[in-house]
Formats: sequence, C-alpha cells, structure tokens
Amino acid sequence: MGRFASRSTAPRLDETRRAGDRAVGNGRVKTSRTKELINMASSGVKDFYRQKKKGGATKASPSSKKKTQQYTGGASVGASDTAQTSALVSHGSWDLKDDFGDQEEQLRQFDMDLKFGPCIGVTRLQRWERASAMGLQPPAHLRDLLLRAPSTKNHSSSGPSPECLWEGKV
Amino acid sequence: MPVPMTMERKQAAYTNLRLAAFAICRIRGTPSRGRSTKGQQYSHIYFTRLHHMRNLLHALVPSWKPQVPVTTVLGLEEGKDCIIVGTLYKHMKLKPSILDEYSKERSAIPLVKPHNFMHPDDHLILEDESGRVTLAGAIAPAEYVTGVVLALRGKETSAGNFLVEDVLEAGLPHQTSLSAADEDKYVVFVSGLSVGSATFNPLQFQFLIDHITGHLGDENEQSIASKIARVVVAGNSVHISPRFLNGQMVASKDQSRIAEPIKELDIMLTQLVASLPVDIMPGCHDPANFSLPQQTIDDLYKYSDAKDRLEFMERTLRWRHLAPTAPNSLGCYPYTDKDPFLIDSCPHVYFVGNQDKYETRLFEGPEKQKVRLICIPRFSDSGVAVMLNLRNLECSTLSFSTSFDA
Repeated sequence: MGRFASRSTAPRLDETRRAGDRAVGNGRVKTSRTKELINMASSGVKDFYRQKKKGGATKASPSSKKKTQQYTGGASVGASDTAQTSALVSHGSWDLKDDFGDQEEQLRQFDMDLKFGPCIGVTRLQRWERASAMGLQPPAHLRDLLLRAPSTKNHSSSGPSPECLWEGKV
Repeated sequence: MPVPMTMERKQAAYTNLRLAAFAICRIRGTPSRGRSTKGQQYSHIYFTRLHHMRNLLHALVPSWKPQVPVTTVLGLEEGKDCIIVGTLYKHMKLKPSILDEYSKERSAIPLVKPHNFMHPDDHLILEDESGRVTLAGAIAPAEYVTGVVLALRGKETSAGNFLVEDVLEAGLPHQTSLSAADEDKYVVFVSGLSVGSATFNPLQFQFLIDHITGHLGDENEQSIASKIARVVVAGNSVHISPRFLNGQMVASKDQSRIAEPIKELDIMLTQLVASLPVDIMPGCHDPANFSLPQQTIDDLYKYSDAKDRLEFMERTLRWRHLAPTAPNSLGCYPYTDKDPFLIDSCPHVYFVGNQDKYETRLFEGPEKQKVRLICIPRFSDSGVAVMLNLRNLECSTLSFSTSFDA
C-alpha cells in the first residue's frame, strides 16, 4: 500500500531493533511517533486503534509540511469540519491535499524557491515586490493571489496566507 | 572715520541626494501580534548585496577574462579553469564571539579590546546561494573582510579548495563631472568635538566658531571666512560619561547632568547656525540609533590591514560598498529589500571623521574619476578642522590652539 513497510503487529523479540526503537518493560518494542503514524497510514486507522489508542480520531499527515500540527485527540488543527475527519477514518487514506489547497501550495513553492532569496522575515507580498524590482520575474499570478489574501492570519482560514510558510514556526 | 566693510557670506546650493536610500519602509496593514523578532533577518541584506554586485561583475567579466566560463560554487569541477562570483567570508581565529559581548556589558568600564583581530591563520571562503568554498592562492586574507563581493578566476584543487589566480573587484563606479565653479567656496569639516569629555577645551571650540562667523582676525581673515558656505560636524559631538550608560539606575541628582553636554553643544552650535548652514552627523558616542553604522573604516582596521586609513577608504570605493563589514561586525538595520550602503555613483569627496590624524589624498580612478579622500582628526585632541575648496577640491586645515607654547 505505498512506500512504507506494513507492520501490523509488534516485532518479535528476535527481530533486529532499529535506531529509535525503545524497549518497553513488557518486552514489546515501542516505536517512535512517526513510525506509529506510518503504521496507521499503511495498515489502516482501525488497526492502529486496536493496538494503541483508546478513541479519538487522529489525522494522518505524513507530508513534511505538517510537522508542527498537534496530534491530539479530537479534530486536529487544520480540519475545518469534522465531516472530513470522519471521512478520513472510514477510508484510511492519506489526506495529501491540505485545506489551504492548491493556491497555498503554489505560494509555498514560491517561498522555497532559492532564486528569490530568503523568505523568513518578510511577507510574501514584500518578497514578491522585491523579486520583481530586482528583475527576477516572479510569476505574476501569485501577486494577484496575495493581494486577494485575507490580512489577518488565521490558522483555520481557507485562503492563502500572507506570511511565508515558516512564519510563527521558527 | 572709516566705514566698516560688510562682507557677504558665500552661499552654495545644497541637496541631500541619498536621504530616500536609507528610509525604512513601514509594514502596512498587519497589526502587531507581539512578534518582537519580526523582520530581524540579516540574510536579506546579503542576498540583495550579492544579487546587485553579481549583476555588475557579470557585466565586467567578458572584458576581463573572455572565454572563461562563469559557474556557481556547486558547479565547480576539479581542475577546470573558471570564474566564480560570491560573497567573501573571512574566518578569523581571534574574532570575538557574541558571548564575550554579554560578559563585557556587565562591567562598568569597557574592557580593552585588541586593536586588531588578525592572525596568520585567517583564511577566506567564498559563498554564493549554492555553497561555499575555501580560497587559496593569489588572494591575501589580510586585505579583505567579510561581506565583500568579488569575482575570482581559478580552479578547484583536489583538496576541495579553490586556487585563485586572479581577482576582479567591481571598481569605482561612474562619476558625474563636477560643474565648473569660478570662485572659491569652502566647506569646513570638524569631528570629535566631544563636548562634555575631559579633553574638551571650550575656548578652542569657541575660537573655531568665532573664526567661521567672522569675529576673529583682520579683514583678510574675515574675507576668507566669508567664503565658507557650510559646516559639517562629522560625529562624536558629545561625550556622555560611561557611568550613566552601563544600564544601572541614575541617581536623581545626576539625572540633570546627563543632558548637560548636549545643552552645551546646543548653545555653541546656535552661534554657528546663526551665520551659516550646519550639517550634523551622529558618531558612535553620540546619543543616536545604534543601527546607523558608525566606524566603518575603524572596523576595517580591526579586521584587515593597509598602509594607511586612506587605503581602507580606497578599498571601499573599489568594492563599491560603504560598510562591507555590516551586518557582520558592524550594527545596522535589517533592511529586507535593498542594501543601501552600495555605492552607485562615485563621490567627489569622501570623508571619515574621528581619525587619529589629518590625512588627505586625491584618488584617481581608471575612468578619470577623481575623489578627494579626507581623514578628519578629532578636534578635542588636535584642534584641527579641515577646509575644503569646492572649486578645485583642495584641502587645507584650520588649526586652533589655546596654549602659547604650541
């Protein structure tokens, strides 16, 4: 089912331990947090619950963009409505498209593009204007996106953010 | 009874050309959310500096070394002759670290710093967006500082260094020609007045003011003084006692004394401004914003070597940057959209204040640019002010002494 090895049961005691595995007193190996999520994603959310968690839906998010999300019980940050979360639970598939959608994805690619210089410490619009003034020809449609963006920063808004992707996170 | 002759003071047209270049854009619209670190990123200055200088250097490379390919640091191939463009970083063993600064602030008396942080083991590294490479060969670390953008021709060695064969600096920018003047007009430069310090001599400063305003000397001297069109006070006009500046509470009886040097300076300058326009610039000891980089040439002296202060000034002109060590070892504002210290057009007069002694030279560039370089000595130590003739850019001194055996 994808790129990660499927592990639906705890490793046998004679299996080689990998770095990051911690032994728990009862002999079962407790894997690190990301491995839990990988397990969950590949083998199905229900299997995961059987092993570890007692209730509470947790959103699977293996993409690196979502590192800072809180993986607590209940609706996670970014889910704008519980209907989507329950859809996730029933299908057990990855939600690769985050709620900001395609536009935010384009803006994040713009943030990461080295050609336009560092992105931290300036708003996206300022960076676009700077790149344009330096003759680097940033994509024109991004400016329109940014001008239509809401001026207040709100995690659960569905529009693109005026700040770079690292804002508030570093 | 002879009628006293009235003399008209000469006037010179004045425009501040670079005021807009240093303006700080306010961030519109976004309400403050208590993010105190917003915008404090110096990477933007380096990015804009590299981009601007690289465009300049790329334009100069074809006439310097035609047929040699230009590549990024990551694209270097071993043994292949090529040109790379990037920002220099000088790795210095003796350079103080930021943690030392913390311990120094605790003491009431500033610790004595070594004059110069150079060491034979210092080496240069060239950096661009793709990577860094250590430099070796025909580039002397003693002559360069961190923050200079250069083009280097050479090849990568098996050890992973870049062996430099030749160096290209941006060189002096174009200079607009000086409009011909038919009469002598002077500007007087003075710096390091240090009102409020132990070395300040009020009588000496009063002599300077009296001479400029025409209250001193006979008609001959007065006619020379009437040709002075402007005075520039180049930094360190006041000296506030360090015991008020170490972060401790100031007793109420002392509070009125903090501003006394400024009040005294105000009284003295009032006499001057009644007679002619005066420009005043903040120095590193003046109560002004730390983010205005001061001591750009003194900073070069700490991190590199030259035969005299004027040579440091020549280098900054050739590197086309007023303060290459900012923001590395010199404080400045974290501009995000530009590097305002880049020199776009060659100045006719380039002066540095608060130097140990008076020095001057007429520096000539390859395209017939002529720059009058002036090192202005500290007035409180030397009693010397500099007089510049705007007609021919010749320099002379005004020397004042209050002791008979000088």
